[in-house]
Amino acid sequence: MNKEATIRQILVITDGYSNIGPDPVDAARRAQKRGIVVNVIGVVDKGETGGQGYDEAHSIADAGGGMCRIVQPVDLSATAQMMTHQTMQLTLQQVVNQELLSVMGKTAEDLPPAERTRIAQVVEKLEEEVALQLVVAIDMSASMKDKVDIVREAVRDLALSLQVRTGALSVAVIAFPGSGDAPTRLVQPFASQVDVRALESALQPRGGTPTGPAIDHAVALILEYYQAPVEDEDGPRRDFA
Amino acid sequence: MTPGASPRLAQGTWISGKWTRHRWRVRQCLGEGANGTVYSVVRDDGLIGAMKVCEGSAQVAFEWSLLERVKGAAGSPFPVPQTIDDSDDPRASYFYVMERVGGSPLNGVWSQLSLRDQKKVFYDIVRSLESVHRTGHAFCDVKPQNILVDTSRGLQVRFVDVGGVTPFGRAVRQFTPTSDPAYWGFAERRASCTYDVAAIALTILLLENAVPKNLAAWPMQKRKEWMKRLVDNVAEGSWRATYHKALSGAYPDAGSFAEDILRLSDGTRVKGAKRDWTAKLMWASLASACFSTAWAWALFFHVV
Repeated sequence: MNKEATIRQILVITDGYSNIGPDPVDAARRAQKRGIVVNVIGVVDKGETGGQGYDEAHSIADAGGGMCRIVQPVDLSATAQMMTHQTMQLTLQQVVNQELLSVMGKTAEDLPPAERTRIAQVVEKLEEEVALQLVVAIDMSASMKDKVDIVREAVRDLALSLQVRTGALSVAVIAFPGSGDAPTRLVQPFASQVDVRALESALQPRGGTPTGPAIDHAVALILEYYQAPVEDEDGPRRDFA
Repeated sequence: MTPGASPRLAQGTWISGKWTRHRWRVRQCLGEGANGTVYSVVRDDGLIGAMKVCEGSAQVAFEWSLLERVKGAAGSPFPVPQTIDDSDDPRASYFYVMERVGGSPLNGVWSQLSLRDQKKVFYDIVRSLESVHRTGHAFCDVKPQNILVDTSRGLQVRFVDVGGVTPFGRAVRQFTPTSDPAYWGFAERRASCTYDVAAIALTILLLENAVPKNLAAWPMQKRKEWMKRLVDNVAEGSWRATYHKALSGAYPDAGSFAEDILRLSDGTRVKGAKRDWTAKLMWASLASACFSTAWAWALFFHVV
């Protein structure tokens, strides 16, 4: 996977306020500095309304240069996919804007709207073709108990959506908290698809909500990936025996 | 980045276009979606339209380019694009204006339609999909809320929300789970004729059947089994094979699906005609009975 042509994102799926470890907003800001976008989906049960936890969700996304949506569990899957696509588009739009600025001294907003549509079409095409590296960080605190099945299906579904893109997909999953005293747990390292069995055995809700450490872990995963020499990466064929 | 971050435009507000120098007066808010807000507007020269306001200029440009591309030669089921522009009003910095499409969402009108009209609307939707497909794009976000039926204009079918429209072969960006063939395990989430055909079949099936409450927690295979059983139990038996065929992607294009719908609907029409004939017979017998009685009374009283 070519470093220049890869979009890097973290998707945090949570249902509450972080209560362990460093501030998740700072962690998101650190991610953003590394060129990684942080998106947040807050999952609410019927009847619940956004409280402190959802203000935090918005702040994390703002600091991480991403989007935030508060949704009912049933909408999780479609929202995850929509957000991933839209933030990819946004990232590409920023790249194109920088190019425009350096080449023409103009941003897209300075161009007549009809000409912007041509840029939009280029961005649309790039979005399909660019490689995507995604870490899904799943809140598995005790309060997520009733939502585990929905979250598992949504993550599997998200990967299925992203796999049909022309661009390569590399997806890793972490859960927080981890087992024992560990704040996080690696469910699966980067792969071209989601390992459903690993997901099923790993998603066991317990304990608090270390959102900050989870974002830091996700950032570390992405950075490690680039430091390690990558050789057998993504041929068109893969064996999953 | 948060939806609804820019405040709504009040009724009567004038929006001035920076590039075209046109002005639009806001009549009412028609709806708010994930990507922006749509208002009913009138241009200064009297042209009625629908104004879509988005947070960013990129989303506006993107949707506009989709509207332009699905316009087609022979009229599109989607709104015809009118103008794309910017304004200095922070509540509508970036927007485009399109044809104002009349009608009500399919989910609202479906149960009020006769069986025969339901089939007509179904057929027209599939033909409309076919015309979108001719431009090399799939609708993708086929949900009842995105299909408008105008009962005052002979059940005219139109599509709204162009945001999901995707060139064939690319990954679907925008969908609604219950109308998404991939969610039910029937297809890949890739834009194609067969994706749309399966999506509209799902949409129609679910207008008459509620989905299980905890569907989102079910594995895909279980969803697929549930949907197959639903089709096996469709009341009109002759339709079951067609639904199965649509879901499994066996129709190569929307046109061949439409032909089967027409063929099966003709069956409905013949049955309808039979009912008409019996009704006529009943009224005729009733009338002749009344006449005979009247004649008998008349004879009795020596009126004649």
